[in-house]
Amino acid sequence: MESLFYLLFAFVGVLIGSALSIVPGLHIYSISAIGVLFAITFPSVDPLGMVMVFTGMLVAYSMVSALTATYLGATDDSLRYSLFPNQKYLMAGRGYEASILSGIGALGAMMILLIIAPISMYVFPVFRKLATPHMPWILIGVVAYVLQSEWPKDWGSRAKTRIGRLKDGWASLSAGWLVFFLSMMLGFITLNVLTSSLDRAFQATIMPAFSGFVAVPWVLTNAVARFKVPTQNITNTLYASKKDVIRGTTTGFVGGMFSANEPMVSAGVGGLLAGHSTGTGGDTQFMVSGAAARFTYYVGAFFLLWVPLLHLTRKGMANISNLVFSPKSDSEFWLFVAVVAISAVLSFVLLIVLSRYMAKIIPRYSYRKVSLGVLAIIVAINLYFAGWEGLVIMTIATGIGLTQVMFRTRWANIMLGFFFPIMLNMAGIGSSIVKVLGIY
Amino acid sequence: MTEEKICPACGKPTAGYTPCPHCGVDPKNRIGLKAAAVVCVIALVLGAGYFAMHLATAGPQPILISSIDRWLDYAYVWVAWTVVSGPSAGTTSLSFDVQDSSGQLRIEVYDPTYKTLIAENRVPTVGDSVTVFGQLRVYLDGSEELRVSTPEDLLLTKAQTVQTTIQEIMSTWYSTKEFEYKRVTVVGKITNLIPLSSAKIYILEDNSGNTLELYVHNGLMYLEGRYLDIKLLQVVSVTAGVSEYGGTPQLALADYDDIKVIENQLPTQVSLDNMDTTLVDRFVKVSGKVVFVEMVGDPSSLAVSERQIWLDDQYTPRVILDEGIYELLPDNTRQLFGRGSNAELVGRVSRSGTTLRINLVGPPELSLQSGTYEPSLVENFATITLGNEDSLVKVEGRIVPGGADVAHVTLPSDHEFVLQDNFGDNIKLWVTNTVYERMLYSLAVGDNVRVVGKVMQRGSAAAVQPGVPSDIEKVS
Repeated sequence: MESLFYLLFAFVGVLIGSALSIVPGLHIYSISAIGVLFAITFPSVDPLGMVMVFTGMLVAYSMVSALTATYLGATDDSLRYSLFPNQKYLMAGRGYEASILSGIGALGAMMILLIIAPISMYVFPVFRKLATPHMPWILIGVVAYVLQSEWPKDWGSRAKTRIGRLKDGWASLSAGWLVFFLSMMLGFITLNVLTSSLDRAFQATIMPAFSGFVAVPWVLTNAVARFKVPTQNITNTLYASKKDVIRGTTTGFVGGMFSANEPMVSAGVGGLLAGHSTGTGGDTQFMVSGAAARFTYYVGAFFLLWVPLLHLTRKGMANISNLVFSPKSDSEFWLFVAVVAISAVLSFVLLIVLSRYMAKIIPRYSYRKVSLGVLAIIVAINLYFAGWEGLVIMTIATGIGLTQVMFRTRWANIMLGFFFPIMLNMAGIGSSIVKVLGIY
Repeated sequence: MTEEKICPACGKPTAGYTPCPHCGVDPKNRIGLKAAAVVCVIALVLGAGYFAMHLATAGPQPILISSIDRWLDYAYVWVAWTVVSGPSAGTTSLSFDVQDSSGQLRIEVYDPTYKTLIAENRVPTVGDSVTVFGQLRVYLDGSEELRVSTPEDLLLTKAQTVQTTIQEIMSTWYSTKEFEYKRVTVVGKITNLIPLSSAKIYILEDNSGNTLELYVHNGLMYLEGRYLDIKLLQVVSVTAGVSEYGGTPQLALADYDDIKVIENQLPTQVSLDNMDTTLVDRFVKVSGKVVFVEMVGDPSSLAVSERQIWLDDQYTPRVILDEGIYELLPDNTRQLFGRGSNAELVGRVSRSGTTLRINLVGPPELSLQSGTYEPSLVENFATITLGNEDSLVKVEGRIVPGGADVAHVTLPSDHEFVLQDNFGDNIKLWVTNTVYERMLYSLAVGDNVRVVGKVMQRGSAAAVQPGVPSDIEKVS
């Protein structure tokens, strides 16, 4: 009977998560951190029940926040990968379809998680054992690949001389390196200099940085573009092939699981690597795989904490919920998997309902005004959680984000650059570089 | 297609084109929301199945020790076993061994968790049942351990204590092992102490002469914050778990408070002149002047294995002091330990052939007062013969050529020197490597030396053997 209450806790989490997911710029981790404070303040709260609320919130966020990316253009780093196709669909009157396709990608990733759950306790410990000693060079390899694999943008006007072609070839790469370098410098500073009290360090550094890197530049671009959102077509038929959906889901799952396993690698980077390695192409595959990668990145990483024998702490939610409750038994793992399944279905239903609603109302408003409104909400949330210092970080990060937009280089360079100092720490050379830079 | 055709995806006219010129959709490629609904139903069914598994697997699911394999390195597991040895404590960690039906495993608890266990009086002891959650380490050499991170990860069920006797434990050990890994209370007398590098083994003896080892890990003093204060010949009641080491039973003490002193027995006080065979196996208290101390080396190393003490003269029974016991003596006692000191000690009498010995066992009962003693100087070496064997002499002379060292394969040589007196007579000086390697200076032909030593046989002649480095004094 007690266990049924945990399902109820998860249900509450889904409702909270869904409601919060459509608030632009608000990350679920920030709300979960508040939940932890709540649990610590009131020790009588059942820790497992609290974590079930977190689980419901995380599942809902991983699925429903596709709406903000599609209709409002505001997103976090993990959705940036598939943002462009979603926006393209929106402008073609297919925003509803795009959001549902994203939901299906997430649903597919969830199904794969459910299927591998019974063997996960035998597979993942082996993966961890194999990968742990090689973590630093894998991460540096990821960075090197992302930086050097960027394709020249103006390939239609091929230069006539070798020097000209060499220059063209390195133009995009150089821009990528520039963005990476700027982001890395910001990372060195914000990750080593405390700009706020310790208890809100996450909100005061990571959140404004991410808002500045991803959400604000995109919203600003939308506001400047002054385009009008056409009337959205709401249909029960999704125009995508089964092959695209299956391929996108599996590719996204692989990319998401890679990023869930590897520290400092976001869903977008994982999705990019998986997409390149499997030859993913077309808007549908991008959207589906992006959503699947995102779901796997968030929920899959949390899943790793619950896997018997493994109990791997990866990404934000595992770290946050560990403060309240540490799963230790098979029984808790099966409860978690069941909660994920039920929460995902519920979230998908809510996604449909909310998407129908947003598809109806968004075209009625000026997209410029909507974008400016979203910008105001992002600024307000950052001000609330991170204070003025956070807004300074957000402004600097926005400059770097706009540089990326301007040069049309890869957004993944920003994320990798920002976390590169931590990778250097893992390799044992981070502190030496920080000293050379004079940060401390 | 006709011009009225509308794209079902974007709702715009297609002018008969496929795919749609506005959004690129080919209407033939489509999926209904029903497919998503089917996926949702399957997910709910699977979710319900997993929920049923959650209900069916309540509580920890321990694994068997034999199932631990290399691939489980770093894995987190539950184990539910009986504690079979320990606790061994250090300044930063605590460890104990557990056993199930398939094998044994070491459990490590690090700071600060182990301090919490101490504070909460939840340190597992032999015989207790534990259910532990932790991270496994499986090393390349095949050794395994489980590391516990938080106090909540160790669930402890204390063992019930059984009142028994040393005789009962020993008599059942080689048959039913009735008391193995049980927590027992026994009464016995402390009759010896065997110091090890990491622990001390006290010997408990009952009135019938049955003995049982009591293992006290040195690290317990970190847990207790004090030294264990039990003395030789105290009759104590000990509550501890019965573990096994080298095929024999051993009590594993977990708490100094589990030893309660019942009685202080006194040794028989005798004078050295009145020692006889009726005292064999009895504890005696004797006193006398230390006239000679002989360091006996370990044949396989330069370590000292024991010290033989001559009290009053060469005719009294030798006092044998194991080097491990010697090292337990307080610093000030060790500083006084040497020729000339007045000693009072408690030891156990034993017999080697026809010779009586007093074994100064631990916990050592030895008090020393400073004093001096010098044997008379023998000026003419010709008077020292094999008839003086085992007597104490003091000689002074010059080292002359003719000595023959005895080489060892891995250790430095024992040294034989030839000492010449003022009359031109010679005597051999035999210095074992145990003594020579501890001297502050080396000896060479031409050195004038003064030596106190015992007369011993070397080849067919008499020789003088110093007992400790300070017995050799380089005069010039």
